[in-house]
Amino acid sequence: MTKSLNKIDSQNLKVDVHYLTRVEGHGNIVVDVKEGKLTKCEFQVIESPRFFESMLVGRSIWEAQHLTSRICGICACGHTLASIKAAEDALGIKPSDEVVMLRKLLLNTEMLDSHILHIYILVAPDLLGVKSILPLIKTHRPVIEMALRMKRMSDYGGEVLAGRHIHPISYVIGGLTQLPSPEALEKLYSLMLESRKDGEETVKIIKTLKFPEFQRPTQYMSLTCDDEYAMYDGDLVVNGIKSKVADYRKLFIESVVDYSRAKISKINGKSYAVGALARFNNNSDKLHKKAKAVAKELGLKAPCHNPYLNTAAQLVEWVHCLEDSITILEKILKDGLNEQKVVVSSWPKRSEIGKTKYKPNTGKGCVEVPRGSLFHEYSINETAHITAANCVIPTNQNMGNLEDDMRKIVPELLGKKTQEEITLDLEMLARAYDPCISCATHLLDVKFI
Amino acid sequence: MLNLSNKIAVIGLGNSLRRDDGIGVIILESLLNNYKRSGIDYLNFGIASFDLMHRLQDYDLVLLIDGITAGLLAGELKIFNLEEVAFSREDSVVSTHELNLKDIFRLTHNLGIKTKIYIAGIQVQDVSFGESLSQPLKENLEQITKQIDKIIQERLF
Repeated sequence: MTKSLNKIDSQNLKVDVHYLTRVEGHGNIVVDVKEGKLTKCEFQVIESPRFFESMLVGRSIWEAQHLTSRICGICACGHTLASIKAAEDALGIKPSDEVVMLRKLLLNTEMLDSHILHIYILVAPDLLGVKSILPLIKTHRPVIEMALRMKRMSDYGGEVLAGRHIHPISYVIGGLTQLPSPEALEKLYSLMLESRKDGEETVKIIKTLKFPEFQRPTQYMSLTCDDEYAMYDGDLVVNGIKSKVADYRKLFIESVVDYSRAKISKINGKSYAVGALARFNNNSDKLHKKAKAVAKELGLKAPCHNPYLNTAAQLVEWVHCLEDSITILEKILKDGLNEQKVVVSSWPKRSEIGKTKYKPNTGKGCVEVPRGSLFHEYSINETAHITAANCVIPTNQNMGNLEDDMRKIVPELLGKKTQEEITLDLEMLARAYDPCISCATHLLDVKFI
Repeated sequence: MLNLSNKIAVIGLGNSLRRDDGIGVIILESLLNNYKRSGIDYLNFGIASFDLMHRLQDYDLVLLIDGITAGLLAGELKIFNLEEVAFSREDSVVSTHELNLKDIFRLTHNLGIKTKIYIAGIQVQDVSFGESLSQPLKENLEQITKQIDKIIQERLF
């Protein structure tokens, strides 16, 4: 380790984290302080999912969700659902209540899956002072096994509901292509009941971990709804003011910066946060009572202005999503699913695409995904082919807020911590947002020996 | 002869919207359509990452089909196991993104999961955004699929 990394310097700091680890995707943190003046403070996104928008143009709207589910390997279900909602809005299709219930269940499983991955695999190593999950297998093996068991439960949920756990295939415009089997739903229900114990254990563990102290009030945006903790549907809310999803372009303005492939979003000219903490701050009164109890146990109270506690909010949401899923499954197992109301029978065959005439229109859809509000918007022509597409990803929306956090925290830490400690704090801050910076390639880079 | 006591999976990996990166998934579909063998689970894992670990431990033998960059000719197939390769990026931390298989393998190994893993790696040429394979991969697709099926027959059974 070099001396400069261990030195406390109140005037100069250079942080250049190339390829931030334990985040989904490729991002860099670059901070430069010269003679006490912060000259650079950037979170650079190297990959961007926006190429998908141009790929959608010219494609039939009926296949959009299959394409967009490949934007992200973690939020594949969220992209599918935002895509379907936008398409249904454009086509004027209203799904049945049972379909909506199944969509909420799918969204819950994705939330369960992603949150536990972030809490245990990506954040816990920071809080336990190790570089990755690997050393924890030796020191905390039962905990890691529990985390994997929790993840397996939610993976199974995706598989049962959507046909496979990744890139859902049975969720389509208007409904599902097939009903999930009652036996598989029974098994999922049992696994979820068993997971309650693991959730309780996780709360005990997270309670013992110390999150960094930091406060910066900001704007929090999420969906909101009068009768539930909004994940699938609702109006947008920020600073207590509601607006319709259809008006999202009026609510926030996206702009390009030269150092990043992602756009920066602003509301009222200022950065804002989306994600678990934003949802908690806006909607905590709608949480399941068990989730409220967990929030209390973790000392999480709305409004919370410490972004590091996004991880705690994720755990609160994990409990909420588990309980909400159990309630939904109990209803399904008791009442059964009406195939006529769920299974889509009028989905156009490949040979029919382009022959039916549609009204040219634009549709918008928004769902809450693990990292925040996700928007898809498509314009279609008279053959229901996409003529324009816009996808607004939560991580991009959080980018400006993360940079503003960095701008506040760096001067607070200067002169108190070493460069190495500040670098770690900044990495942890970025990881707290659980950034998901698009999926690129999945190649194995190998050398034969 | 098929050892019925072994649980076997063939898993395709990759992003079919990044041209050659999707080769693992495309070959998996080709195997399913033309060479499907009973006693084997054929699984499309697309761009899944961490979730792969759960599935690895469900099987005794797994063949992962994926695109590789290994300095070979585009479309060249190489079958190897983990002892035969070094992964180029020697970072010491887990990233779940882009299926950092090296870390998944380490994790699997450290957890004592005994699954025997083979990798069918196909040298890629073009991983830009798009859906069609590069010409060398397109031309070799049938041959590669046949070769992989032969490997399945010889090594997994």
